[in-house]
Amino acid sequence: MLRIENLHVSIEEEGTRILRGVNLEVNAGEVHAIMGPNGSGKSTLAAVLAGKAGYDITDGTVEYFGKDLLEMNPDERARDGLFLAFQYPVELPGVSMSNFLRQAVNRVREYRGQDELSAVDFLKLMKERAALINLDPSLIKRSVNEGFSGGEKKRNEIFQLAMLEPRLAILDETDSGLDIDAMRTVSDGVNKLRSEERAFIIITHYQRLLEYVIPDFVHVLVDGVIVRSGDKSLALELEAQGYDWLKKELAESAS
Amino acid sequence: MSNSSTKYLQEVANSEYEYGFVSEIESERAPAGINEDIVRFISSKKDEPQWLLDWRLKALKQWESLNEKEAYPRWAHLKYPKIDYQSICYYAAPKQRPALNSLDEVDPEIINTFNRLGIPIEEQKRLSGIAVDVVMDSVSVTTTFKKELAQHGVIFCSFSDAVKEHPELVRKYLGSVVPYTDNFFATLNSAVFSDGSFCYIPPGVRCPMELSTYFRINEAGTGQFERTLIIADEGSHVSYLEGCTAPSRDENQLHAAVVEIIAHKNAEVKYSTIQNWYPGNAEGVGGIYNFVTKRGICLEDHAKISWTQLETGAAITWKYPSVILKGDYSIGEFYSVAFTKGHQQADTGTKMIHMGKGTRSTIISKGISGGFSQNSYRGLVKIQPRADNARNFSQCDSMLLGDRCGAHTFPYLEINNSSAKVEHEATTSKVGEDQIFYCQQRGLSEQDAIKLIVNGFCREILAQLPMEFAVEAQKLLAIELESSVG
Amino acid sequence: MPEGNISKTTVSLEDRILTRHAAFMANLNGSQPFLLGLRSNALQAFQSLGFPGRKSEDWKYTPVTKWLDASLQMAESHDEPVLAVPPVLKQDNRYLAVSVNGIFRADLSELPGAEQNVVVCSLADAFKDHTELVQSHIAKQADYTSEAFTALNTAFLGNGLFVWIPDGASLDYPLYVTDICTDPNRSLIQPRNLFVVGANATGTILEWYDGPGHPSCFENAVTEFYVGPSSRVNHIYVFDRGESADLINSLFVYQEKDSYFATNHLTLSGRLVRYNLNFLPDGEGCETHLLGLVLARNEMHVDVHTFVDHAKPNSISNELYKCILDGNSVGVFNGKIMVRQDAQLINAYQSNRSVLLSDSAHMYSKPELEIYADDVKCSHGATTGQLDEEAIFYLQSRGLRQEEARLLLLESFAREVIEQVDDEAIRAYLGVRLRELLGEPAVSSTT
Repeated sequence: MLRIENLHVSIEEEGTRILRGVNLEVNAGEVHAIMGPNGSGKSTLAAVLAGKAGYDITDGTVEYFGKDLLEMNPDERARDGLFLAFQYPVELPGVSMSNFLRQAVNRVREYRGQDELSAVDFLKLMKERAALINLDPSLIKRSVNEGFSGGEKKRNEIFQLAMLEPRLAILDETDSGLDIDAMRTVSDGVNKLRSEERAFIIITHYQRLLEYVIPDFVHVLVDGVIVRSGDKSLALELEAQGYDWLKKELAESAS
Repeated sequence: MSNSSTKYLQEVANSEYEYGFVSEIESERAPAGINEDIVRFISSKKDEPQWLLDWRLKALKQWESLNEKEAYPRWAHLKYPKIDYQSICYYAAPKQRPALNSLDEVDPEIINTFNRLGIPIEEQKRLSGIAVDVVMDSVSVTTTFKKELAQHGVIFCSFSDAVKEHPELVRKYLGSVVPYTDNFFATLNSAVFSDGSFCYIPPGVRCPMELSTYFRINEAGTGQFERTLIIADEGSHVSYLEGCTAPSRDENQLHAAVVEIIAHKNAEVKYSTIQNWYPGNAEGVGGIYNFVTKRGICLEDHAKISWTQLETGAAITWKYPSVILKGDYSIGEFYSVAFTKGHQQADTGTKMIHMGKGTRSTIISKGISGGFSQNSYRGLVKIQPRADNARNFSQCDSMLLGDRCGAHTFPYLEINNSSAKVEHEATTSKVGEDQIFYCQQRGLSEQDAIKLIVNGFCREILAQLPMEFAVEAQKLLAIELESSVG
Repeated sequence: MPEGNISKTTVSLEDRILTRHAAFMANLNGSQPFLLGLRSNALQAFQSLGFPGRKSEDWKYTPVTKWLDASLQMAESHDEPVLAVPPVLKQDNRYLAVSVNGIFRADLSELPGAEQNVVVCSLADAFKDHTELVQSHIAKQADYTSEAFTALNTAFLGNGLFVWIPDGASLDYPLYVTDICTDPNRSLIQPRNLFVVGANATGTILEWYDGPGHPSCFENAVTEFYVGPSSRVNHIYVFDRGESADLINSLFVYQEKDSYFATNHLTLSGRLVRYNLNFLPDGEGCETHLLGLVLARNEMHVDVHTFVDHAKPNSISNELYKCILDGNSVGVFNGKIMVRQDAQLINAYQSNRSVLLSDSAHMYSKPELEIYADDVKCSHGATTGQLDEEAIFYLQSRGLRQEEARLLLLESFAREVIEQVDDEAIRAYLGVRLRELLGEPAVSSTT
């Protein structure tokens, strides 16, 4: 599904190098967790995959279902089933959730060669998916993310994921700022959305979320490189010993 | 923002005007120029009583002295060449003035015109229950629903009919909110106004339908000077709608209207405007000069006047729908969206004059500028010494859709009572890149994202419009945005 | 021709100004042609502008001719004994530049030593010793062709203060600048200051004008700052000359790229006080901060005009002006932010917060935005109201008397500005002075 090879990324104009040769392969049905300390490049990786402006790809390739992902516009990627749950979802004042999502759903359906949903079917789908992740139905009547609490915003991201049914979902620190109950609801939602056809990349700082959403693979990103990959036990090890342990070990092996 | 979005945002300047056709209607017009003879001519054409002619002549005298001193307002953030008032024709009327209540007698071309404007008079008459007064080149051509309204005691007719049929009301209220000395353009209007709409809601009556006036400038070389007078008697309620269009012409045409609203005790008037005069072409040639004085007075306690406007047309807009809050606990509101593109210039806003105790006002203004346009909010909030516990909240947001346009905010806050609470906030920004990206990440194209965000920016204003109008407003805004961003 | 409604008395003031100017010019033997030309051009400009009338939009709420009364004299040079330097300025670790009636006096000053590499002298000396530098900066920002008071000041330009912090230099201690008015008559004094700060230089300047002897002068001051690339200037301005002193103060700040200029502007007393504060960040990466506090009581009339003109991209400006109005006082705030075309990536904020303490106090606020570039974030806000009744009640319920509660709230309102004053001794003094002023019951003619 997704093959990242030797990806080098720096910040446009500034030139600061963030990613220094990331390699990653993700197949349908898999759940990958990417962990790493602050500033390791986790969120940059998510942003680059979604096509955010402001980054220079200085080297490497990203293949998505055989296509060159980096050549695609952000909206093309979204229509082709790549979904990013934002760490900080922006507010769209005055833009109603239903209007926004209806356009989004229909653009994605159009791309897949499906008919537009009728207003009735769309509302039905909204209700159903909102229930799936326990989203307060009153939020659907409001403007996108406007005046939402931190937890509501995160839940809203997962709700949109459920609505758009992507092939690859990237969750960028969806767990940050969530209390334990919200975390449980969000992970329940994610677990319900796991399927043979769908892959997840879960970006997180802590191991906490991975107790609820069990990953198939765990990768540790440090200073823009994946320094270690393993299964879910790697996350526990990190939790127990901290990132310093890994950094130290790396430094030792380098010397 | 990416190059493609910058590019299509720049296309804001090049949008086409949809209503730029000319109707072939025979008309009767006065020779160009303004003088006592012309004023007498207009007055006699309308069979006006002596008092009204006298009033016009006083206004003319005042205007002539203002014109001599070149005392037209200069403070607005507008640039336009000097207007030659002697080259304008001050009276043009469709030749066959139809009898009222009988649409069949209306020149079919007029009906045609309004159908092309998307104002299906016939249909509305039957279906939607909106009473429409149609004013073409300053002359009222048809008013619908007159009979049904009359059953409720509501008077809704052309201004000239009101002068004949309800002279006592006209005489009592004409000029009581906007005196003929008020300002250069209002004074000009007072001298030469040819027609307009008149509306009276008797005590305790809730007007059973929306009242609507459509203004159309059709003739070349003319100005339009209509006058609207709305009186809401004690405890009454009315919602009034106004729409405007004009043909595309290379010349600039002057529109100098006056609207006066009087709200008595516990009365409520909601006045909504969709202004879509011809804005001139992409190079800034032609277009309507829209110099309009609109003012309401909450004469007694607990009255409420609310202005909502969607301003998308006219080469120049100079317009400040205002409320004088004289009665205690009266309420004034101003909701505005002004969208300028091409070479349009708008200087618009409001005045809230707090005189009574416990008076409250709300101002929400959204300016969107694109192309080479200049878009200014100008507003006055004045708290008089006796207005104890007055409250005002103002929010003025501007959005820029290009790097060759301007967005400006000029609020005046004059507070002369220490118990007043006045809050003003303004912001200026462009459409957020992170907002566009968020929408794109959900599959929307960049163009659709911008349209969605701009629409959202205006939503709280459009939500103030009556249902039938809101749909039209959204359509209009969509057309404007379409040509701007798609 | 002078515009507006100039009364007979002020016309005669203008006559006196002209006569005086002729004498002034005749006495300037040996002055440079540059200076002579500047003065006579400025006088011509003043004559054609005249004192602003009420129709002038910039003076809409301040009919200035009301204060330009018949008793106003052109200041003569005086030999009266100089009153003591304000005690608060007697601090360790500071330099002091003293002027008397607008004329710099090295003999009363305590200036940086030669090792500081900083020049502090009279403008007259500077014209001789630093001719090119002064000529390239004087009257460059302070445009005398469009503003009458700047023109009037420029017409008599001569013996003001000149401060030069050359490239790479930095003042180790703050420079206190003060002017002592000794004229017992009601006289027009016209201080003129030029501060030239080179590249990569830093300094803190405190301007302090209080009123020993409660002068009834009419002060028309013009100050120009040139802030070179990557330089940092902290500026503090305090006006507290008492209830019979009038002031027109025009400040012009020109900023080169990557420079930083911050000013704290405090007005504690006066009769007519009018500020024209102009900032022109004319390079990328500039930072401009303007904090102001006005405390107006009795018959005081304070009119603050500020103008931040973003001419170049990538800069930040932040403005907060607070007013407390009591008695019959009148406050005017007219703040304008301009972002010129192509000055992208500007963040500009402006806020005006006013508290009215009396029913006969008035506040006129006019915050303006004029934006010609699209990639900007600009905002302004203005609020006018009274002290929060609920907060007063809350404090009362905790045992404070109403007056104490009121004072506490006013102090905290003012503190936001005062606590940013970057000089501990001055900050402490201001705290005490503020309490004194707020605690003093205001005299209101209506009560």
